[in-house]
Amino acid sequence: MKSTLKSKIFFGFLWTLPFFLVLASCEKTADNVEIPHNEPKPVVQSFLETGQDSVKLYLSQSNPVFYSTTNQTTEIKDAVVSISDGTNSVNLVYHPDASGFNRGSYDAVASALSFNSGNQINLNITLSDGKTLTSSCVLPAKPSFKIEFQEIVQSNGYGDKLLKFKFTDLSPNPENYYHIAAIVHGKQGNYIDEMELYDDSNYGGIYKISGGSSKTLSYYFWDNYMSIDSVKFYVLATDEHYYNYHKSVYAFEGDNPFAEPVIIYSNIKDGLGVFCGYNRNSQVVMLP
Amino acid sequence: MKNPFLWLLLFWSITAFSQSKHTISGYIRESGTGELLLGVNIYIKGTQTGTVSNSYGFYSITLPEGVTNLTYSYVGFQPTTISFNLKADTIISISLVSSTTLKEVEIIGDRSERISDDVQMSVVKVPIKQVKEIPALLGERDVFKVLQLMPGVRSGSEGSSGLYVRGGGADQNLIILDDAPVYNAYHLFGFFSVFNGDALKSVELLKGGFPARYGGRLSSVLDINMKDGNKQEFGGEGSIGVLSSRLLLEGPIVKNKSSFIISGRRTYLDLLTLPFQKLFNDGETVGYYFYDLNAKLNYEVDDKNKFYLSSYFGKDRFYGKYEDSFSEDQFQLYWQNFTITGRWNHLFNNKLFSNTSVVVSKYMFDVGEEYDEKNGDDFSLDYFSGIRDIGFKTDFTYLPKNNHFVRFGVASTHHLFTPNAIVVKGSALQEEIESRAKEIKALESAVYVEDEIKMNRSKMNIGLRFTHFYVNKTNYTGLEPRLMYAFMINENLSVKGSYTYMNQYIHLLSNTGISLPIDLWVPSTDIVAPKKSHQVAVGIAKDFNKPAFSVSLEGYYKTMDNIVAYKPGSSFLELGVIDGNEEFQYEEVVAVGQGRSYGAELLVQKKFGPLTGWVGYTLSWTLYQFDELNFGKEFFARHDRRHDVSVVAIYEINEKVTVSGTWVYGTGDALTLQLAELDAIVNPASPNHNPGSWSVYDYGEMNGFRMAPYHRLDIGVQFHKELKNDRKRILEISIYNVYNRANPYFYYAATEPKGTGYVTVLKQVSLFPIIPSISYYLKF
Repeated sequence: MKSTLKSKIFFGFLWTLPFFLVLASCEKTADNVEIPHNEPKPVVQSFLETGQDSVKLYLSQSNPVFYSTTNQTTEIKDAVVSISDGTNSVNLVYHPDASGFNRGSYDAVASALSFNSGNQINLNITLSDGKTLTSSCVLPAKPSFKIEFQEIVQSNGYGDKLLKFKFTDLSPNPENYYHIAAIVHGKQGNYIDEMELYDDSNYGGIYKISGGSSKTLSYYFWDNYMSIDSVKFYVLATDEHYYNYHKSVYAFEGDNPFAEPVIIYSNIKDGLGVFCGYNRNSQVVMLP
Repeated sequence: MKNPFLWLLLFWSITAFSQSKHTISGYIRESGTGELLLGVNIYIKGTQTGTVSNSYGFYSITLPEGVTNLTYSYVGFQPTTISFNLKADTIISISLVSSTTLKEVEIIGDRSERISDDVQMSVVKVPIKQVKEIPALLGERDVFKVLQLMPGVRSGSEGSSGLYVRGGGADQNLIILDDAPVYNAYHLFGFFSVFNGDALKSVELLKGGFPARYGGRLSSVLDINMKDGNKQEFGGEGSIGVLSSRLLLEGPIVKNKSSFIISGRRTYLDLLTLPFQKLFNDGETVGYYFYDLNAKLNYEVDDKNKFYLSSYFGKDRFYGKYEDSFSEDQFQLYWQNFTITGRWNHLFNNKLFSNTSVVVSKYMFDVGEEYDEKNGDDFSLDYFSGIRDIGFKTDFTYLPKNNHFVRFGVASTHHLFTPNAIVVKGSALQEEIESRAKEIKALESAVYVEDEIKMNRSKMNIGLRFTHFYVNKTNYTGLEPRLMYAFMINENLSVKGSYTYMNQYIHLLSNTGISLPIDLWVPSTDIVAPKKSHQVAVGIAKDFNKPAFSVSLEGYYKTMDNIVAYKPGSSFLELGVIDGNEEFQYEEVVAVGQGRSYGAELLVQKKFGPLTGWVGYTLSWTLYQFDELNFGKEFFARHDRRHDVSVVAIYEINEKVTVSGTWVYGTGDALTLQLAELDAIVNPASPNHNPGSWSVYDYGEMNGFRMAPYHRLDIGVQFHKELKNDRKRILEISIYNVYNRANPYFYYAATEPKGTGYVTVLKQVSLFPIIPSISYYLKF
């Protein structure tokens, strides 16, 4: 529904395009401007979970938009990737035969390192040309929160319902970052299906909440599809890097001419991407 | 009475005798029409004694008893000196005779338009005559386009009339037409302004050094006054151009007592193309037009009371329709401005004048679609936004002595914001959606006092403005000091300085920094505080006599706090009301930041003689900093422009032929351009789900890319001919973009074949190539 209405309005403006096409007297290749920094850059993504010593890191390089002969990003397979907790370090290993979501990833079981909350983990990557990428993050503490059911409301003309919950932050920190997912298990005929609910107020479920404050979480649900009696919430307390990166990725609007361009957050020195941490907890909320 | 063309109305009224000094006061009009003239210099030659007429043509000057030679001078009019023996307080209302071309010798020693003599700095006065002589796109003479040729006012992007003054945003300009604020002053997405030059009397733009009587915006004040209408005889003028036609009618209702003026224009591209679209397009038609209407009535009850009623209405409309045997789909996008102003001028005595105005201003835009399946479902959508003001203000002019020019007043405006609302209905839906964002009411008030003080070799304007804004149980107040100072080094050379502090209580939510009708006006709230600005300017002004021209050089530094911008990825489509959420909270999609702008402006201007025009140069920097944009790092504003050059020349070869030309150059706009693509992995909150992968762009720094420089030459020639019965016609031929420069309008990435594969290249789209145009103008 949300996208339908937006599309209607957006495409409404497209009616004006014929006018501009008539006016557009000339189109040419822009050969009189300088396109800055048109070089591939290394891209790093790694999300560390407090208390988990299984570490995975994605390493690839960006693909320049202009005058590039390739049309896809490529993995970097020959880098030396190491992480340390300030005392010990572990090298991550690249798996050339990995496929699917493991493609382009380096990993290790870093049991020699301490992944306790509050610990700083450092990243150091040396590329084949000798360039180095560095970053670091601090592992967050367990999220402290409470979620309560509020109400179910009819949301729009298409039969969608809106499930509303009250999220209360119980952390002593003045500012906290969360990644929240609402999962439902419902019967559909003889099957039990699992589905992540669509967060109406915050696409991606990424929140910055002041310590001790409350926030209403709203999720669309169409109960003609399945019937449910409870919602399971996964709540990740994240560091600021995790929040900034995901917030920017979820805000990305592609080539929408009406939307502000989104600069994707990075905390990788001399590269792009993110090296960050989170700590997971969960709660089941019964529906009336 | 030295001047044979002078119409002099002398009314002696003996009032209380005050020793040996007496006050002369009255109104100054244009001979032949009775139009009141503002900004006329009235002075004793060879002395520092003088004054100027106020915005309503009233003046007052106090002089010693005895023989007096009083001179009245105003650019475009013959200077007039009257001699008389001053024995008592006197009312002298005079009429000045228009002069098509002033000879330089008449100007030497004349105060008219001498910039070194004026305490006001950072001001641009645009003679309407020059607006009509400068070549224009498609022959559409446009006040804004002429303002853009002045230093400190950035000329827009390709074709745009958007005003960006000293680094300020498009919403930081107070545009007032006969005291009524105009919220969207642009036709056709900014290619033309809404102001029809035929109906205007005066245009003045302040870029800094704002007197206390102005407030409410950070960066500029554009004060536009409509003509009053000819009080003596009926007349009119009209023109036929490539894009539009215009017609103006004016005349007395009661001769020398009351008059009217009405003016309108309309484009007709839609009417011309419609028959062809019906022939060649299979059931699909699109069209666009704009029109505007100006009207004004005035009634002079007696010499102490005058009433005015003026109004403006303008509308732009895009529309489209597609129809086949199965369905019909109609779309429209329109925006419109409406203003109406009622004014009462009252003269309490020969030293105290007042103007009281009641103002209504309304702006709205609307997007609508109606879809109808024949013998099936139907669906309609209407999305709209707007602002409505009802205001009241009283301004007093008090001239206790010749060395004091005091203004004070009070103003209050009730704002009604409808940030956005949507109505969706039809049989295709299970139920109707009518989601109107809560209307937001606000009250903005101000009280001010200012005094222009003349000392021996210096002038000062010192003022204070107190402002108050009330919205949603939140109160904001502002105490705004204003100071301008000019020191005359000698008769022709002065140095000037100014400091101003401004508050702006309303914001414009705008995507990509371009002023579009879809931008939303919103008030400050308890979360988003008012904008604030400090500006310091220093300058030097020099007048030369032979040849008569002036030079001014100014430097400025301006800070802007609490400016707003959409957060990354956000647009007006993100606002909650679109999704049926009735709580409109624009604060969630905007970032609040700060900006600074600094630079230097040079203007060399020649106003008199057969050859007139100016050369303007601006060197400036404009930077923004938002915690939530560009990750807190400072970046160049989109309208940042390092170099901006304008050259304007108008040459009157003889009484029948005038040629003119303009050349502009500007550094390219700062733009955020996609540099590379990358796969952004996102972490799932649920442990049972796999990571997601999004293809996103690496843009590098925000606004890190520069568009190609903008430059263009326009030329025009006007052939004037006097016809029978005092009629006059002008045939104008102009060429826009003479050397066919392909200036960038926007860029996009496109894929082209290269060898056996493909490569992505950057494409530049330009709008206007070389465009000749012809228009015919008739005055009757």
